[in-house]
Amino acid sequence: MVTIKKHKIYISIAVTLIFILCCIGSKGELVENLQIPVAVGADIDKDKDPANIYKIPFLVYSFEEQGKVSSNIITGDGKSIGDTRENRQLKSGTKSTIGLSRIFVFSEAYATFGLRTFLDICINNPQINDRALCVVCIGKAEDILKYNVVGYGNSAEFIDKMVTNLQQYNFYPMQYTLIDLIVRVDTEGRNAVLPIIKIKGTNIETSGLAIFKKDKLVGKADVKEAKIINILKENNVKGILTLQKDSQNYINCYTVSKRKIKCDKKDGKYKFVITLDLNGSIISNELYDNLQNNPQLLKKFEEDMKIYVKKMCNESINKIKCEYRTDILDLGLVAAAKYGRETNTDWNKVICDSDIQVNVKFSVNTEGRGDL
Amino acid sequence: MIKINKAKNDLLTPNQFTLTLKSIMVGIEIMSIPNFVMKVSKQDAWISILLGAVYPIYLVIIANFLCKKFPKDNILVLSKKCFGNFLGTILNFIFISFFLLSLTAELAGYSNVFRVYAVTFLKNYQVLLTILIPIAFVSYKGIKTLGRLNEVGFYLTICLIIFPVGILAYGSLLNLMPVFGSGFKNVVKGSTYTGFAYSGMEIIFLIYPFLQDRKKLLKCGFVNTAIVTFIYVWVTFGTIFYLGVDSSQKYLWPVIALADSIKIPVINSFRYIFVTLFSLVEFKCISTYYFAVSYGLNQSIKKVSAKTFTILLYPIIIIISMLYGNPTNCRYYVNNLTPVYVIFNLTYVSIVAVLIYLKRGGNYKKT
Repeated sequence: MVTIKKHKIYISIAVTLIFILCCIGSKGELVENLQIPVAVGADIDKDKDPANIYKIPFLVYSFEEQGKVSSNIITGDGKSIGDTRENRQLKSGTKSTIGLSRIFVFSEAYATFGLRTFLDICINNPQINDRALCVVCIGKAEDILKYNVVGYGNSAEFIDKMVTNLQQYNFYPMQYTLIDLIVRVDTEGRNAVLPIIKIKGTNIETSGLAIFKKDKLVGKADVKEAKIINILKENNVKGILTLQKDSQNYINCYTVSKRKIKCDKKDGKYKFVITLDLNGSIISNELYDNLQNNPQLLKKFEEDMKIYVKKMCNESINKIKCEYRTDILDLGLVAAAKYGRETNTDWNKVICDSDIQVNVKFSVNTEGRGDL
Repeated sequence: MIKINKAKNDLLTPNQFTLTLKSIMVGIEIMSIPNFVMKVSKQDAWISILLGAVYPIYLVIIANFLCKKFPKDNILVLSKKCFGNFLGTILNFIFISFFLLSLTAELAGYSNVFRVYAVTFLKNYQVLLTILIPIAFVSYKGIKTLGRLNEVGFYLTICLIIFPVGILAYGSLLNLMPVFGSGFKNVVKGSTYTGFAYSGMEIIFLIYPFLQDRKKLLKCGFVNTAIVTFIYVWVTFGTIFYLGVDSSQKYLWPVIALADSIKIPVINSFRYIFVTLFSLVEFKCISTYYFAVSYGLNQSIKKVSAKTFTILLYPIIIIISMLYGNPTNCRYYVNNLTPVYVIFNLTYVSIVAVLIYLKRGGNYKKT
């Protein structure tokens, strides 16, 4: 018994020593000594300076002595993205913490160059916020981050809220987070799209949809076109559809869309049938007289809307096939799921050569409280 | 041998026994298992994992057979009876060294994950030295403490299996199709890569004498295999569903990415919490391996108690764990050593069973 007791003392001394040894040298940081990045931009300057082509601006919160929070921009230059960290630290008075940002802003030039380098450093960083929103901006990323939006502490807060609420109208889905981008970029038969933002007047606004092939920007769709691409690409999105004769006679419909895709293969050629099931609530009607009491007229309206949407969709699909030459609608994913993966098919090419049909169903759901 | 059963307190209830088996099987490999299998069987990885469960089921059936014949002797004793003292001891040491390998691989793997996701400011030896202390303590206290910890720990960490349910809102079922698209051959080939994930079940041969109600051994083994298989299949299914085959392979530990599907206001990333909670699972796993090694050595060298072995093993485990190095090297060693050990374990266990079956009614008691 005595020996065991003696051993116990030795063991407990050893355990205490190990813990003390392991605690030496590790410590936390004061919040005043930390940069908290709220937004990260990515820019590239190909022509000017070949040695320092990457420009990565950080919009950081800095905590001052009296509990005040302010934000400023620190830009790092470098010939690779990792190098920009070194360069940024040279210009900053606080310790860089990387990864807590809420949005990522890619400039148009960088998106055309390819997002791969930036996504790689993101996937590597365990602290990164995977739910941060990604956008493409016209012009320099630094200018967007610098811009002061009235009513918001900084532009990043505004952009974050704006992109989150894109899903309310215009049929935008809520799929612009970093993890969504990472998942789409390299997956077979998928392509990413991101919202485009730009400075207009005294405000920052969404101006369309950036279309990517793999990680490279290949086209920009304006707001109107983006709407149709969104309807065709996404399931369960919301927006307004309008039939208009002139500026006094029109009908607005708040529509929720559902999308289904069927894929067939005949003689090595793929055929896709996209079925859109649109369910709308009339929010304003100045086109049809006495719509409330006339079921035939309501049928006619539904028919008109169907034809209108179908026409727009077909125009859009033609543009996708001829101009962007990219599988924007993720049809490759559906085909791969049915006919097998990893067959070395270039889906972007195959989809452009295949037959894409659109079927539209439209039904009126509610009609509001009345009609003037 | 009678010493083991000297008090009823030393025995495990069927529940504790089942969850001890579960604890030793589910370790750090759960974080990367989808990737190992996905390399071969692509979107059908979850079917491969389902097939991989054949290995633990086979071990349970053999264990049940041995348990019926010799309820009070573990495999170390039986192998000495079958192969003689000299050969038996050598084979026993190889068998025990398998647990030591798994233990150190688990520890090194855990340290690699933990230092990336949670404690970037700590060094490898700091993580290893500190976490091995509570692990060694549990093992030091013996089988009953271990059983209780595994039982309580399972209920505490059950939420970790449920957390990734959030992915169902984001992923796509198209990622999993076409089923059997990678070919039946690849599905079967993929199931051979599950060796490290399903290993650990071998401990059943060491601890079946500790089970209170021996008739329930088969049931315990099967329930455990069902739990473990469910966890692995769910995790693999989730990874393919959420990330897809191509993106998943970009991650070293794709399963931690699943934790991000939960969005809690205020908390920036759920990863840190997930990894920290996962430590509990990992501690249970390593403790059980630790117990297996020290108890196994004690059974081979009776002069030294299991408790002394626990203390003696501590520095050895630290040194071996340090040798694995970075995740890439660690995986390389584990993936090359595990198949050898799995084949050894299978043959060792089968031969013991066959010899005992053939010598039915023979003179064992001479030893």
